[in-house]
Amino acid sequence: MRKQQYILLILLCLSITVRAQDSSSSPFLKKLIPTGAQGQFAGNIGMISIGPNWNLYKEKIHLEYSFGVVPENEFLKPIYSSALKLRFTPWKINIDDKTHLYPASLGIAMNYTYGERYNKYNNPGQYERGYYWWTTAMRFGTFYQIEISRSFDTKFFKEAGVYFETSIWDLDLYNYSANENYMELSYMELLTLGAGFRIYF
Amino acid sequence: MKANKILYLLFATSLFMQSCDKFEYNHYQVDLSDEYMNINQQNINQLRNSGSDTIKLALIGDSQRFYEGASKAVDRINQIRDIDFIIHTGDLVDFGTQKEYKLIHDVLKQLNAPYITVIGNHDLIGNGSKVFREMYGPYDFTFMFKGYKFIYLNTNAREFNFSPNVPDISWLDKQLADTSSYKQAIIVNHVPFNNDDFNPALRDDYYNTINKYPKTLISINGHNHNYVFTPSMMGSVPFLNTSSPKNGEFIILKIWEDQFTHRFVNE
Repeated sequence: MRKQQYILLILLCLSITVRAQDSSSSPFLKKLIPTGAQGQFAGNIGMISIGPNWNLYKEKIHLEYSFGVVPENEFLKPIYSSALKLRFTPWKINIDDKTHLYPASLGIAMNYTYGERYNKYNNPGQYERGYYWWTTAMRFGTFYQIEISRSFDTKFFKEAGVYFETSIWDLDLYNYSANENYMELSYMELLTLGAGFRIYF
Repeated sequence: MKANKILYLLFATSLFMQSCDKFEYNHYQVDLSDEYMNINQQNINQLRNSGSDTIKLALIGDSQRFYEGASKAVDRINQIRDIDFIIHTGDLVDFGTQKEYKLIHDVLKQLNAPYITVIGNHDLIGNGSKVFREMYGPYDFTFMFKGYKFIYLNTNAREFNFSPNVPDISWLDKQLADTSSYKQAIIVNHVPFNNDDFNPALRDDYYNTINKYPKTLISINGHNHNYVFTPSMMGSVPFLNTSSPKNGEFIILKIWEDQFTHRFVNE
């Protein structure tokens, strides 16, 4: 039941996205209309995640929402999660009149995994608050992205790009910090990779 | 246009250069390969009777995020001769993620002798319960070595919301009951019976059960991160609490006949 609601939510977001093209509503509502959308593979926010994004400031600061899914396998039922990313993209380099490079986008991310087993504090009789000091359902991370994009002359979107992402997440960082001199636990253990596409309306 | 193509190419190769398992899907994902499965049983199958009547064990526990310390302990244990096997008293990992389970196994598999692990409370977080079952097997199990019975028992009651089956006292009683089938019994669990995380309703039951039968040699546990030995009081079963291997600490336990000695190694 809950799953279906999340799927409906994401469909709703996408429908708003489509509507953005012919919107003539009030300035406030206009701000709620996504200015882009993205889909991503891996990066600790689902095997596949998709969602809308909003340009918050001069196409330099974006807020992204992503609904992620890890499909069912022999060990586990599917994992559903929601991620919010705040992305700062200071530079846009025009390679030619239609091709653009965003050499460095930096940001912070939060990922919430749905499901009772990931939420340790819904039963106060079982755990006192702070028994486990970290949040089990919510993860925090920082990321770096490099993106290459191309302008298009279509009605639906004006630019589309692909990006590559490297991220670092709280628990991995904490694990790493207890083993600074341990060579076997290289910095690669710390990093998580992802790749995705992005469209700009 | 040419620069464009080169950039695309660079971008694509940079993707493939990276190893594939760095494309992580979720912190709680579970997708274990065969090399990380059923380790406890495989290691039990590897136990070899050296011919000596004495059993020599190394005990570690609460390795959690201390890979560096655990690795130090592994190196030290490997320098000691005639270790039959290693007991890990639980809390292999800190956050219950598969990634940590793999990392700590990669450290512990360097041990020259097999290691056999009981489940700890941190091992159960998130999908950790699932990972432990796949990687190590059942939470409660026994095995025989040189006529001695090793009983591994899940005592992480809080993780099971103080279920009346954790620890499973009737199972424990059954394992101890046939005293003619073993020389001595050694009980291994994570949360010690006098800890807040032990099921308060079963505390006395546990204590009485292990003391009910005359051949229970010792109860070994972890959870407290510090080495503590509680000697026998008027014939009761003694307790030995392992240390976390933060700086490579471990305990050597020697068992013969119905006796044992132990030594805490921290330097």
